[in-house]
Amino acid sequence: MKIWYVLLIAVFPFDILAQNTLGPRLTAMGNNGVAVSDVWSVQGNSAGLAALKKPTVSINYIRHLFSDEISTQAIVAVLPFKNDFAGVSFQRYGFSEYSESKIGFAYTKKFGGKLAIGLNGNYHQLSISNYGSSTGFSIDIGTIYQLNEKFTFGAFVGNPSKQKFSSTDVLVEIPTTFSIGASYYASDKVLIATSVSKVLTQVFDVSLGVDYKMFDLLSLRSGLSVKPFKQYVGFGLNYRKFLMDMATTYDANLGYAPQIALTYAF
Amino acid sequence: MGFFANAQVAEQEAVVRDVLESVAENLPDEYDITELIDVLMRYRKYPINLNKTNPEELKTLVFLSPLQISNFFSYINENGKLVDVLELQSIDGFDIKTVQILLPFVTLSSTGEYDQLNFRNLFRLGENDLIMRYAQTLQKQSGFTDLPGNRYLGSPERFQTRYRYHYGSIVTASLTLDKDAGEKFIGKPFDFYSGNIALFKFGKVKKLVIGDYTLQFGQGITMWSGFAFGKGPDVTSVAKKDLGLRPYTSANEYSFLRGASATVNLYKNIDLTPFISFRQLDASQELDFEGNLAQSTVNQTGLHRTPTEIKNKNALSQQIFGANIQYANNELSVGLMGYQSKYGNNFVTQTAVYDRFSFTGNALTNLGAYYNYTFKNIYFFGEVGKSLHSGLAYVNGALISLSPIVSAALTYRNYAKDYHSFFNQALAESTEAVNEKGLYAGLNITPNKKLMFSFYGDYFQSPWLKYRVDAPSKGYEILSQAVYTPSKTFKVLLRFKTENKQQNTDLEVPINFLDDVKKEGYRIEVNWQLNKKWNFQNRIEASQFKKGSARREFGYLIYQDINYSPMFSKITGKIRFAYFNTPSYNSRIYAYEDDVLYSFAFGMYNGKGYRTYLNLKYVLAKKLDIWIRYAVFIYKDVQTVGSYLDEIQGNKKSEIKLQLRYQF
Repeated sequence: MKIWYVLLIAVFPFDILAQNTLGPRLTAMGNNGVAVSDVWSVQGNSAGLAALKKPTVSINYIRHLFSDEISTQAIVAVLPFKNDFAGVSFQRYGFSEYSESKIGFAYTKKFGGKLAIGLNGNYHQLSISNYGSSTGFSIDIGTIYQLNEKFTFGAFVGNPSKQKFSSTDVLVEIPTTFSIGASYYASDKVLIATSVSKVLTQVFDVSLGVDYKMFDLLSLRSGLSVKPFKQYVGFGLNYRKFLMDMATTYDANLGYAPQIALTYAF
Repeated sequence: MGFFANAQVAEQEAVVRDVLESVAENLPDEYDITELIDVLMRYRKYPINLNKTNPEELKTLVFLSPLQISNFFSYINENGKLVDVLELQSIDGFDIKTVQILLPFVTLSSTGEYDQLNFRNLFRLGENDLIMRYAQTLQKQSGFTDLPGNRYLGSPERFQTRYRYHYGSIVTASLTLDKDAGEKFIGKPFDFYSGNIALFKFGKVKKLVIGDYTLQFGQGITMWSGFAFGKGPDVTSVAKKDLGLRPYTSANEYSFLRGASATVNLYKNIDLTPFISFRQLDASQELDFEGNLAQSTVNQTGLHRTPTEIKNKNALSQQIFGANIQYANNELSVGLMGYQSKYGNNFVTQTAVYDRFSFTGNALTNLGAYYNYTFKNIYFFGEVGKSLHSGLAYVNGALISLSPIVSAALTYRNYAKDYHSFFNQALAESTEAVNEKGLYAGLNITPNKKLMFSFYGDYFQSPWLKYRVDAPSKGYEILSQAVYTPSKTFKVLLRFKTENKQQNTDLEVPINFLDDVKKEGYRIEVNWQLNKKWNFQNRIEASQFKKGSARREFGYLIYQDINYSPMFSKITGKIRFAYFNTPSYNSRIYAYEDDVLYSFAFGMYNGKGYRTYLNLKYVLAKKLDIWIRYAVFIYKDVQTVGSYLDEIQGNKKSEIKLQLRYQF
């Protein structure tokens, strides 16, 4: 079986995972990270870090159920200093013969109470057994504008300079993505987020998600995205400084991809 | 007095029409709205007393969601009777819009029910409502010419007569007579007869219907006759509001039971509804291996025009008996039911592979259980149905009022490929709730009085083959809609709908593979009121269709509606001018059309041409109204309109309709 994955990867030119894991909370909301604040903003629109008040660390594990072996692991940490925020992330995806990893550094600055701009630098590594490995570097930039208590708007560009992997053996590109989004607090318990995004080589995707804080302890989340059609559902448990979030994606072709994250806010 | 009464009636109808137009958008294409109109017109005349009502009564109001109904009763329980109707706004889930729509149909004062039931009162205080309707297509359709072989044996006119009797809300009777175009007056003047007598609130007997009736229980998996709401811009419509036993008042010739049924209160909150039905159904039959007549499907059209249709008429006998028992209090309702249906001849499978799991034999036993439960701001609902010796089907869901302005709906359904029920109307993408799994999620957001957004996404899979789908298939549907109402006289609606399904390829290949079929619809609609007399509606709708690698097709419809309804005038009317252009049937567009009272149609705009209609109502006398409607399609660049027996030479198809209503 493994050989097929390797063949598949070796024969067709492809993008590495167009989307970094955004943690179960943003994933359950339809992968809506453009205009929502979360510790996992480090992996997406890092301007979202500006809402964090405490140093926070989170660890994430995803099982991709179309195969027994493929999983994603990721960890993020964020350190806020008044109006500046620093974050670091590490993500690994794949199985023994094939793996993609990424280290990211994020720096976010708040301008006044409403505007924040974030910058990410990412170092990518791809290794395929018998092919060796290749590395690449990319920069992302994002911004979030909080219009009022209810509305927040965000925009994000991933790898605008179209950086590629250094190796010429495999045709792998670091995807260039554009997204804009809005989030809306319908009440203090209900957050609705939507975004329109485009990966350069693919069609526009629209997504919509809801986060509903049922009690202080429990949040329920659900979302969907249109191209490709995916459904998302998840929940979060919030106990003192600990957060446990779970989510799953359902894709008609790839099946379920459940994930869990543990977060600790100091 | 007469003057005032006319104005009042006109206003009543205007309110009902507004509600209908708003729900029409949510209705399936073939929905028969007659009963809905009946109910609303009645409440307009005799509003529901909110301090004396029950869940069943409120469920008949289409625009209330089950969660709102449940919240309403918990509010009454906690806070006692309502003192002012505007108190409704303080109930969870009742946004201003809902309250505005609801107000014309409710009251807080008792309307003075006549509880004295005797023969003198039945005649003296009873209300009668008689409607006679005539309609005809003005061009000659080829089925009416002297064709050799198959042709329509009857005349092209359509007649319908309906009579309703109401004695308060405790006794009703109805009679409906119908003759479709092409049907013959043989022996008896009408082709279809339907009628019933119903008693309500008769001690322990809550309801009793003798004659034609409908049954609606749970979520429609096991027993639901008549029409049901499904997916629509109002996302709460996926939770069905079952009304139990109801007298049948529609002219649809298939979806009802004929016999007797009653709902009896057994003990406190427990009701029992036994039912029995004997009918003759239409079916085309052939001899099976043993030389007996057998059929594979039941014909549901109710048309008996050609020699074959007449031969198939009443060919199959159906006997049904069973019962439902239900426990209900404010938060929880649970029901169990079972019934057996027996047929005069055997059902056999067709040769097609997709039909392999359909019902065979002549007797079917169905069992079902359903529930709904309100916990805080969540309304849970579901049903499981089992056809004995074959499959299982279930649906579960929740409506959640996330905040006063956001409500969400979630449902999961799973219907086995060999689940059989002749009264299955559960939520489904296919016409029947079998051979399907699906997950539906929807969201309604009403940030303020002026804005309203709705979204839903539905993903579905068919584990077995279907007609024109030679493999297991999957697909999804997404709808999003925004409505902006800045003032009472102006409204804008934007809607986008996309649907992706799979179907056999159109290519000539030895083994069919599935192609993706993508349909998209875009709608912009503007409603504006010039003054108290004139009201305008404009709509632009575009549709897109793409199958596999074939070129995409693009169609559109533009129309202008003009509505004239002055408060104190005897005459009111509506005109539409439409232009449409769709390359083929695949990109056809449906739109609601105004019709004579109790008649209802979705116009199908297909091909290229113009559509116009004029619908006028005139108050002849205090209790006598007349409607006249003329509608025409003029197609461009065609020699004929319609196909086969409905074919018309020329490029025009027009229809005239006359209706008389006498209330006494």
